[in-house]
Amino acid sequence: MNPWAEMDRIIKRIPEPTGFGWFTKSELMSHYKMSDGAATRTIRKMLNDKLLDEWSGTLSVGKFGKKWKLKSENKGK
Amino acid sequence: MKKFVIVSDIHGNLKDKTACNAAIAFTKKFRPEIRIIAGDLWDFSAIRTGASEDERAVSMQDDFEAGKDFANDFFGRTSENVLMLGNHDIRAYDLRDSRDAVKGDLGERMVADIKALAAKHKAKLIDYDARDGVYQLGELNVVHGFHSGMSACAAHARVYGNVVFGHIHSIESFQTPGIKQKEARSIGCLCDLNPSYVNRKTGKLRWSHGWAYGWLHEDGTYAIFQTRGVNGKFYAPTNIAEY
Repeated sequence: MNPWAEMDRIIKRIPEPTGFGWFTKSELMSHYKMSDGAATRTIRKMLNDKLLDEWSGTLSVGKFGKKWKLKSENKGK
Repeated sequence: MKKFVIVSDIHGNLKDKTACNAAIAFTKKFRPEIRIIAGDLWDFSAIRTGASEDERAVSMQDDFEAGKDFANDFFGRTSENVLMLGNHDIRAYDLRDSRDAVKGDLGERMVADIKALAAKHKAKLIDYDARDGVYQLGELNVVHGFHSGMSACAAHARVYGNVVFGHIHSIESFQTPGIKQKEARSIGCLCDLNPSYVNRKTGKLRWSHGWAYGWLHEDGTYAIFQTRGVNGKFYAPTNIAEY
């Protein structure tokens, strides 16, 4: 692993999206009362089906993380 | 008698290509037995504590590769090579103490890469430390630099005696008064003289491109000279005569 490229990826400057429709895995688990595994599988399936936009980077809490948004939420915006 | 060259403050991706090329060309022609990079080979602004969005936008990989390329060109195969760490380089080392385990691990790997670069050139790696971060070249001490501002040379002379350092990017000197005078020299830098983070700081108007070189005698005494860039040109006499 190249630590320099990895650090670039981690501190990537695309700021954490906070607008309507973006969610974290924790929020998905909480909203639908899902287990961690179920949320992971759901997100993976939706990504495979190209239904989600994905963002990854440093969250506002300072930890590396990911967020997703339904592609349909982007329509007309 | 051994010849030496001391360069400092390349700052990775912020290096000034003209100044770096001049320093490399000079070193190849001068063929010194001792080659010292006196700190801040890299900039590492992206991992500075409290780095801004713009600073984090700088690629760590580009930064590292740019510094590594300079070291690969500067160090000789048979010369005594010294790689000193500066206050910017040390950020990769400090990253190892991050509370974020992923960043801590990356810090370890970055330090391993820096050590591998030093090992490749059989370069002595000198820590950025007020006590241990000193390389002795006979009677001349070399440090990256720990003081800044208008009285930086005086402060270094008081602490380290005869000393050469980088850090403040300017070419200055100061002699302590006394029966045995001590002289501190700051030798300039090889980086961009107008990085955006000092746009509104008048201190940058003292910055200059340059490096130091000279001859170290067997008894530890030395002769040292300063090269200064003027409008992108560098002039450096390379012969010495004793009178």
